[in-house]
Amino acid sequence: MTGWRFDATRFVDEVLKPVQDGWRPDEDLFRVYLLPHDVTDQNTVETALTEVGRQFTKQQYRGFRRATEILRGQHKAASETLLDPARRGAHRSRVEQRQRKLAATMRLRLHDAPGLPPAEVAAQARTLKVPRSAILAALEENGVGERKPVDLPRLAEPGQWAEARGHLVQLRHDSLWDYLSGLGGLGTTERHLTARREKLRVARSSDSAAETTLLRLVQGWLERGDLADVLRHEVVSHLLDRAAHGYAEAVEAARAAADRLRALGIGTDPTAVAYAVWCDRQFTAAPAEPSWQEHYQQAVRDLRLRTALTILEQQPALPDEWSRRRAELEKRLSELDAELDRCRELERTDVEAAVAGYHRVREALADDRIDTALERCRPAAPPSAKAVVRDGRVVVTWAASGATAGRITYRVSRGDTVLGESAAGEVVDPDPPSGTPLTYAVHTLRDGNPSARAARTEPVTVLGEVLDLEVRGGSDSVSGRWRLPDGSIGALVTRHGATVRDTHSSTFVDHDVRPGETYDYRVRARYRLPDGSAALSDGVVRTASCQEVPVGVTDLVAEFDRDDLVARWTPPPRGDVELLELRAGDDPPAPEVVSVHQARRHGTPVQAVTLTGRGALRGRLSAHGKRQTIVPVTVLGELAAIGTPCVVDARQSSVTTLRLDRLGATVRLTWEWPRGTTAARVVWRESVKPAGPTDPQASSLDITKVGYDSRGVSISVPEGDYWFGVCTAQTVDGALSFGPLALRRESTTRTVRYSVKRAGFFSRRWALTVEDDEPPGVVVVAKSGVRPMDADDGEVLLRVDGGEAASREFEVPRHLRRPVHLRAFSLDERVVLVPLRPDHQIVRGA
Amino acid sequence: MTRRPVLGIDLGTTYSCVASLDENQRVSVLPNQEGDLTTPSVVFFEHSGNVTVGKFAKNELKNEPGRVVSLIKRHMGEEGYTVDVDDKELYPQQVSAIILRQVVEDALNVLGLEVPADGPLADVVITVPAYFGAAERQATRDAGEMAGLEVVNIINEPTAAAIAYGLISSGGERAVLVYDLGGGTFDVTIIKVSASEIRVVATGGDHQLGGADWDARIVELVCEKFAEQHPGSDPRTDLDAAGSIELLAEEAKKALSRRDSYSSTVIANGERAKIEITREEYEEATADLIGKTLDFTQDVLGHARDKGVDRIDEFLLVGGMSHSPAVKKGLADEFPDLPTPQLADPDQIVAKGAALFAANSVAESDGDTSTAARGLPGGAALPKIVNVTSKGYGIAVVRDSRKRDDHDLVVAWLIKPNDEIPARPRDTFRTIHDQQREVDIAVYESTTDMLSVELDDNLKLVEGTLSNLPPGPAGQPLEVSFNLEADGILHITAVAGNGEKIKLEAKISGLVPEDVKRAPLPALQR
Ligand SMILES: Nc1ncnc2c1ncn2[C@@H]1O[C@H](COP(=O)(O)OP(=O)(O)OP(=O)(O)O)[C@@H](O)[C@H]1O
Ligand SMILES: [Mg+2]
Repeated sequence: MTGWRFDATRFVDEVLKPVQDGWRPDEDLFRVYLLPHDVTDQNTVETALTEVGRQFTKQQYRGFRRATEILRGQHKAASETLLDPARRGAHRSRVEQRQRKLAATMRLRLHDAPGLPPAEVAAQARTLKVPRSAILAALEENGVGERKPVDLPRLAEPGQWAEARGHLVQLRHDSLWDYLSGLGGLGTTERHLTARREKLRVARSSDSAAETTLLRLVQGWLERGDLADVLRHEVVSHLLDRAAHGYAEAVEAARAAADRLRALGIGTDPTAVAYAVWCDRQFTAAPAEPSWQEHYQQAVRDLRLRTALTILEQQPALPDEWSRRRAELEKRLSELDAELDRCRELERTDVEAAVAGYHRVREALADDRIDTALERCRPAAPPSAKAVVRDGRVVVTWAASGATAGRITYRVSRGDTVLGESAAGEVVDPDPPSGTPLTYAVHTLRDGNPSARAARTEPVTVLGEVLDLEVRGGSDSVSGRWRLPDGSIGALVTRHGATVRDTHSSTFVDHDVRPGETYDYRVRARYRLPDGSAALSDGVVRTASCQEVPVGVTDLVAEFDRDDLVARWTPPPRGDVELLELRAGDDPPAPEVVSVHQARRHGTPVQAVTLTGRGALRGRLSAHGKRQTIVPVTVLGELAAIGTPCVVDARQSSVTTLRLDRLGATVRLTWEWPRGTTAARVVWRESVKPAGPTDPQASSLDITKVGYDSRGVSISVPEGDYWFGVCTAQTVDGALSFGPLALRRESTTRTVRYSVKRAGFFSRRWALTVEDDEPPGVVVVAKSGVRPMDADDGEVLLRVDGGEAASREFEVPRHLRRPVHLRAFSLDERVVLVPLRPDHQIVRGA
Repeated sequence: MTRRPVLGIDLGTTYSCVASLDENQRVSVLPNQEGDLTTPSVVFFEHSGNVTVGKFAKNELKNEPGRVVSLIKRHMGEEGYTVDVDDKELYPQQVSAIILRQVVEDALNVLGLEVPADGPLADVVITVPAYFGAAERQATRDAGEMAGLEVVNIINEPTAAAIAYGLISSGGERAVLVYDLGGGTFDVTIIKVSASEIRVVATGGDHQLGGADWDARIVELVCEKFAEQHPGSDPRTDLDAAGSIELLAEEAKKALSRRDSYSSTVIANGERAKIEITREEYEEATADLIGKTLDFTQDVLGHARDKGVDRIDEFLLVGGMSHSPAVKKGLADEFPDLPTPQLADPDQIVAKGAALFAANSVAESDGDTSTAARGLPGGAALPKIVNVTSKGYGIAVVRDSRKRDDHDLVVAWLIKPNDEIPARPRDTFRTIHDQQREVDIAVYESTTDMLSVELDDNLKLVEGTLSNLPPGPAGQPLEVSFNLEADGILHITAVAGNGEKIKLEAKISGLVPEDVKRAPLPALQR
């Protein structure tokens, strides 16, 4: 009994998850194998290694596949380390050293507190990239642990709390709790308040006003039933403030407030409350409530000095330091006011100087008066402005204004349209209306505040160019189209200076062109000016040429393969080839170049069914079982060249199961006729495949189905190597048409049987017997596991030359892995070797 | 008696798929008993000892995640790896065997066949990522045999995709880039396809990168969002919730392929949180994963360029993750000069290619070449398949032959990644000491497709000592030949000048013990 037990939960939490998240298992092998650091019992280590090792391939840990793979990978090395006492010791000291370091880190984080809350433990584990348990161990090292803080009431600041605090300070009470203890404490009621109010009426002092207001606030809380919450909020925020100074302070404050805490139901154990408060301070960042000091600071930062002064004036009982500040602030404000008055005076004589003065004051004081004053002090307009037309756009320039104070820029507008603002002396009107006189206004801006007047330009007229001009070369003409710009009344088109006659307001066609030649066209927009005269824009130039002409396909071949049409052709140099199924009843179109549109009217395109390459297509026709004409069309841009059509006939499909049998001097051909066919052609050639049914080099024979059925087909050919082809034949419109050619080869071959057997019982030798009077040359080939496919596919065990003895022995070498497949091949092409018992040709044992 | 069925199986990390040729020799995917075309590669181990595979097993993640095994393909062929369910240790081969058994039984059911009382259930071709090494391939083959299948061959997933793709489209020789981002592995392969040959030019990838990693990122997002609502609470520590979150993550991922946001409620540690994930957040959290696939793709393009392929005609996207718009966009942005990436039947194409290959192999081994040819659409024979290795192989030699320091060794590479297989290179090495009578031969395999000469970066496969060298001065020749077979197994021969010889075979690690291999599988349950 080693006492070691596998703990699945611990394995998941402390090993699998951390490893999956990137922890290196070799940093602590004790942890990985769930072993204590001080383990010494070899047995325990072995058990742990085996048991944990087995977990790595368990399917229930499928969510941690990466982790288990990593762990499996390091298992061998880990075993070596853990099983060797010396290496285990070294590893332990490394692990422990790391742990001591972690303990030190935790000590810093603790600030003498009695623990860390669970969320913080998890957060530390994340940031330090160690498992939770390591953090817990490090805490333990410091004599503390994970500790959940008690819940604190989380209360929002009560309404008018800041005001109440102010009054309490004036009344020299530390807290509301303190003040109320003079009334009814936590049990204060309306009656207590009324009594106190009565009292105040008879004995008025400087504090009475403050206290009456406070009583009114308390009454409000009482009526709403949240007086207790207000008190809870008060004590918790007090403790939080103290906790900011450290855990010790929090404990001291909590102890001092122990009664209050108990009475308010926050907690009976002041240290527990102190810990909770400390945790809250330390680990949750809550925005602190602004106090009047902060409001004051904020106002000063924003230069709202008048507001800052008001805040100070509103504070009852300002401490000395603050009274001094108030006096300083008052003095500063009166200086600034005097300066503002001086500037106002100056506005009448020197606006720029006044503005500069206002700007100076504004650096120290934010005040509406300054803004209004600045708006009053408008800058002078630029003395002059000028507009010129350049490339269809208008460039506006002007001379600088005399204004200097503030940021000076200029705004340029055309009528109601603002074109832009600029500090430089130029603005471009990118899209001015054409054919009408335009004037531009330039205003000076000081910090965005415009001059009262503007400088105006002399009128200019823009003659805009036509828009979206497109010039395209067709097959026999060049045409162009464009949009006229607003204000234009037409266009003038010239080609190399000469006017193109066939021109309309937004199109032209030029028929006087030669294919392949390039022409320049200039299109100018025409305008009628207000004075009645005509004007032309400079014009836009485009180049165009007549289109290149596509070349038709002349060698399309198509045939049926079951339901699919398979077509091939030589791809033309340019353009895409489409195959059209000619509309039934139409004559095939003449090969000529027409528009794509026209070409496609001849039929529907053949839909491809698989991926096809250039020059090939496998597709489906829309109708089946008919004779159809396929027209190849080369599409290039707008033009299409109609090629030489090809006729296919679904009935003209291939013959199947073509078979050749040599019977002496003749070869008998058998095949299956596709349904509906009545005639076929047989072609043959020596050594070469016939090129087609009409190959002039091949011999041929036409045969009808009736003839085939009664006599069969036998062809006399001398011994040798022949290719035979058979295709269906049909007379269409007086011409013979053929189906695809099925091809087979016939070499005068003969079949020779052979067998391979053990040479004798228990013999390690094997015997090859070839049953023939004139045995051919033979090789015996062996291969592990699979049948050899040809004489080169495996190890040659035996080679017998032609004409030698028909029976030979050989050995199957031991290095060939069993089972070994044996097979004999003939060295003579004309002889085929067939095994007598194929199943006897597998060597399983020795 | 009817012939055993011939099946192609895509044994995926997350989903498996079975295809075969129908009576019209068309390749089609066989639905499982639930009528789905793919079956989750997930196994649920019941208390009773019975097992459930597929959708219902996956659903048990919500109830008993500890009894559900998924993503087992990631551990195929891994030395010493077992999963632990109910304190029973299961080898990855066993779990895969269970999956294979179930999908094949379902396939038999659809084909109207009885499960035979004894003997193999079917002839199958199983696909593996191109990046799989010998150990993983052997483990896959063993799993098939343990499931009672006749494993005709093991082929590469991208090759299977190319077969299926290459045979449905025609034309001359084309270079095809196959980008396969599946549930657990990422493969990128450049293949030259023509009517006569399918040649793998270069391959690369990462078999620890797949949809599951995207799911894991979403789980992290979910946990972060959960913790925002319940500070300090990590849903993963609630072991019972882990499975549901995993399911939710995949659902979210799939939804975000179509929608801009996904929301759901997560309950863990007794708390609930409504979680919303936007597509933007998701794509940001997974951008680096896509970035990785782009880097691999760049590398492989580089390798292909070195081998003279500088034009890609077709760019195929395979694997379920390719449904994700971010993948397509990432690729289009990174490779503006390549053809637009196309989704190519991403969930089924691999199984279909395997079925075509299987039909062809079986017909061929029956000695019936005409059926073999007929076995394929269009009557064409299956192109020859030329593969490459994804790793390098070499032996340890002294770094500096003048210093003759036997302890300062580096690897001399005989086979480089992306060399064609079978590869049979040989090279001559020399003794470094006078009268040296022995030489140590240590064979190394690279761990990735980048080569390093330092021994530590590589994996030692096997070592041996060749003794009785002929006496003589330093510099006696020694010929070392490697033979890397198509099944990924390496044979090494070293021959000294006097004919002394040593033969080594790289040991395959992570094999399932014989007794486990022969033990019956637990009963399957629906
Ligand atoms: N619409 C979709 N959007 C995003 N991801 C998807 C979508 N559909 C499926 N997937 C993801 O694709 C992955 C499955 O792809 P696939 O079936 O190709 O992989 P596999 O074959 O199981 O794995 P591998 O090929 O890596 O062994 C899963 O991660 C799945 O969540
Ligand atoms: Mg896949």
